[in-house]
Amino acid sequence: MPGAIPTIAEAARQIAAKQLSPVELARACLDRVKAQDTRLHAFVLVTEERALAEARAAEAAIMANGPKGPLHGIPIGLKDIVDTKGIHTTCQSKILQDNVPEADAACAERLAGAGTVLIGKTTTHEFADGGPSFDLPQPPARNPWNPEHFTAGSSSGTGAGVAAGLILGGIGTDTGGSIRGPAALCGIAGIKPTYGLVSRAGVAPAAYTLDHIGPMAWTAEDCALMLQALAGHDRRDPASSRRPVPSYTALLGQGVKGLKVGVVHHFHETDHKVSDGTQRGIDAAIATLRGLGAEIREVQLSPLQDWTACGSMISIVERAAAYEEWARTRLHDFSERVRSRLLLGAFVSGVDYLQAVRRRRELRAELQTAMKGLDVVLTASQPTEASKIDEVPKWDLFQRPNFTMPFNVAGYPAISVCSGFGAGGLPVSIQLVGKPFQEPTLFRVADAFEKATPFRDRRPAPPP
Amino acid sequence: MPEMTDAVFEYLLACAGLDPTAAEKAELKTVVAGLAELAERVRRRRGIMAEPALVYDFTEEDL
Repeated sequence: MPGAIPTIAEAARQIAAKQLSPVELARACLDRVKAQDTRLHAFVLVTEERALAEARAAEAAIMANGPKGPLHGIPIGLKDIVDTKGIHTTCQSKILQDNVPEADAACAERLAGAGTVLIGKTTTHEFADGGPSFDLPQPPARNPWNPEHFTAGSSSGTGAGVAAGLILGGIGTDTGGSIRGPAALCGIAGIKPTYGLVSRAGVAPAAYTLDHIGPMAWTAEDCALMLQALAGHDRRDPASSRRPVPSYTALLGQGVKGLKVGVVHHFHETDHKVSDGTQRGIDAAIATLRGLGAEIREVQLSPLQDWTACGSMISIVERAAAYEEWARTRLHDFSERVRSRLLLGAFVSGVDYLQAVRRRRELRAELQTAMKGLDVVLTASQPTEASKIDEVPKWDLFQRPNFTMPFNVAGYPAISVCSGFGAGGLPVSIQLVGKPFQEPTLFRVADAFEKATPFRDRRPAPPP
Repeated sequence: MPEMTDAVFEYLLACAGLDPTAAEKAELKTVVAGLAELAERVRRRRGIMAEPALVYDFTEEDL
């Protein structure tokens, strides 16, 4: 176990064996918040009193009847675009500084129902877009591996908080990579599940048809434990799937022998060449999976630029539509970066948008064909190690294609896991993509990879 | 790619009901060509029967 920070799975076993008190676990997280969050800014709001009350209630219930599941008594964070009943939910925007929802979002409700302990609301880019922004009510989150560097976004606080052990898991949202980006740059695991698997009800939208809610945690196994609580039909979300929910941990430990892994070499070697450290991590990951008995194949898809263009067109328009009223009436209450993106919506025609939606269907069909006979696909998650926080380009949308967007466009599940450390000791990562609703296979591969490599034994150093 | 004139630029912003500052407009003008490139990438020769990806998830309430 790295330092004194357990994974969710480890903590759950210790809690069930009555070797770990949920109250002590919550206090340890809150102590780390106090020691580190003045420099990391992972939280916009810490709910200490509530957290301790929930931990005490969990402890009493567990002592009386045992845990109701592996998340009972586990400290978590919720991205601040997730509605929380009676707790400020600001979306990190000046516009919603006084917003106190009357009901929990579906994901908050499900995690609370599983017995989690809410440590607080985690930092997000404003309405899960743009960033890092320095003109918002609170500062952007910083990377625990080096606070001079960016976390990626928009689930930046959850990424930083999990990596630093301020929480054991948390909720992220992902419209073009906002779970997998911070997971990659903070060296943790984060999964964007299949579209429709986790309800979006009560979560502020970024782009309706690209938005996904998912867990972020130290390991793939922990993400599986969280997804088990999160997945399932919710009539409040019009895109919510009615498929039965399988066990997400059932295939863990079965290894990857005989599984077929496709590698989209051209994405990260030609379409957008990744850094040397990232490439070394990908090459080593392929060698590891091959060594574990997986069969490695080459996959060819449309250029990454096509996928990114499709997702960006859809995202720009759906965001502009969602926030049209405030953009018309309160444009200058948005941060500079979000304001700029909202303005783009004026320059995309209805026909262009619909061509992008037609293109999405073609691209999804292409991925479906490419994945026939494969179990998962592997590519980069981020192009490089984390940039310095003050060197992140504002218009990266036009400057570089995005490795995560293709799987928002397709709606396929994708997980980012740490594949080593590159320049400056900063984490690098790989992205594994599964077929729709095949998250158990995705977790199987990601877990086998993590357990065959030493990267889960190393945490960011706490401040001196 | 045709160039966007100032009049068209102002017209589109006005239609959208958006009122950025002069500095924001100047910056926006530097990236609208990028949007046109994105639009070009999703434009394809495809038959009229190629429908967009839409889902009608009828529920009990629809019946």
